[in-house]
Amino acid sequence: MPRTSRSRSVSTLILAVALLALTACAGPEPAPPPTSSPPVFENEEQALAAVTDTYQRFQELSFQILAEGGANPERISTLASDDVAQVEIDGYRRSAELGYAVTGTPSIQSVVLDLWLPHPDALQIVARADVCVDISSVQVLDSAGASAVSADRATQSLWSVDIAYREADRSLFVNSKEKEKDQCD
Amino acid sequence: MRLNESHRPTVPTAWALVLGLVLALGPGTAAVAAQCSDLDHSIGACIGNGSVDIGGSVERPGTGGGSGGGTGGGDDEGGGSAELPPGVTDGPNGERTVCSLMRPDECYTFTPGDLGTDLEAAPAAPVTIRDVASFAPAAPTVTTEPAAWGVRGLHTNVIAAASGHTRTGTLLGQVGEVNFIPVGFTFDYSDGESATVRTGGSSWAALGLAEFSKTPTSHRYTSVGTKTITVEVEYAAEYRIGDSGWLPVVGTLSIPTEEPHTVQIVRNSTVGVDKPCRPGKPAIGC
Repeated sequence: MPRTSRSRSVSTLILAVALLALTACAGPEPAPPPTSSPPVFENEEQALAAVTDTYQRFQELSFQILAEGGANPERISTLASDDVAQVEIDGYRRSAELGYAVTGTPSIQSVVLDLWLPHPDALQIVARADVCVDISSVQVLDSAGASAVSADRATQSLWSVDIAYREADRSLFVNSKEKEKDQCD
Repeated sequence: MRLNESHRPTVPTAWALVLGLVLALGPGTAAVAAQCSDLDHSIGACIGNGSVDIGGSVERPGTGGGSGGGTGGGDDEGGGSAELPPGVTDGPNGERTVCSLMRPDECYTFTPGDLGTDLEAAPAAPVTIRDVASFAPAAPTVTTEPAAWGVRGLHTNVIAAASGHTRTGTLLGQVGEVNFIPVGFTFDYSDGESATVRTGGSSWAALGLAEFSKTPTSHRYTSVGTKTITVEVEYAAEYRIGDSGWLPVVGTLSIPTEEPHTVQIVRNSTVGVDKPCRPGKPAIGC
């Protein structure tokens, strides 16, 4: 559980007050971005297909990097936000340091669209979905050849995935992925 | 009141992550999910929803700043059924089937070219939403969970209520009834974000979710202060005159709340972390 020291609390409080003061002077909150550009998705079917494809490609690339010992880990940035890429690249590095051999790729069992937006919001997010992932085909062996997989690893798990839109190359990428639970139902 | 004679709108909204923090909330807890690398997923080291409940506190691993959420629902725009109101389908031989929106098992089939043969049952000129706007359907109500306050960075559950109802009045020179059926809700969260969803939302308890969980209508405010939330309900309609049976009304009608709901978004005590909290990965503040 995160903790903080007294001095840190004071600093945090001062920072918060300063931010509040700035907010008070900032006037109205920024309006959402203009939506004159063509919609990213025309309909729900397009959004669902795009979310599924984007997350599928993300997983394939991520596990390819793991299988290749973490080589050129920055490749994942083409399909991931900076935050997600940071988390994944850290995982690739740890995997390499531990001498893991990763094989297989998870399979997407289902995708349920939570929301989709015709135009990106202020954070460029265009869709959110619950994705059921089956990881039973993925094996991880340590440097001694023994399985590094926890005995209680869930075969299927449900993930909340945000998909964002990058205007520069008009591409979609995984903005965040959060595990919801160890089953899909 | 806003008339929409051709289609149902989709309105964008926002959703994202929150800063890594711990929020002292007093009573109540919230289960949250954790970002997790594919490596940790592979070896079974990911923590999931609910595994980070810590008494009266909520831990939110992750990075970035965020705002609230909602949905832009799909509709029937485009394609072959673009001009058909809800509840109406065309058959392969030109016949048209009309089902009551409020009573889906109450349907009848006719051939559009034959409409003029029985004007009492089905007038040749379609009834549009303008014709029934004077029937004054009920305005929606809006509430939130928690009732009068929310926490910046956490989901405030916004719930709109509107139900199907029948109004009686004069239509086409005769006494007629109009059913108004809610088909969408547009939430204006008063922070520049709005969302259109098909449901008005439900309480966390009804959804089986922990407090401050995301819901289809919840919203994450990224700033503190007073927020005045308004909602518009979009009604589809059907009508009947005498024993004509229920017939669809072309278009939809949007009715705003009469009384906006005010909620105070507050800041809670926070602590920064130097990187996302993850199992097996010590970080300052985790």
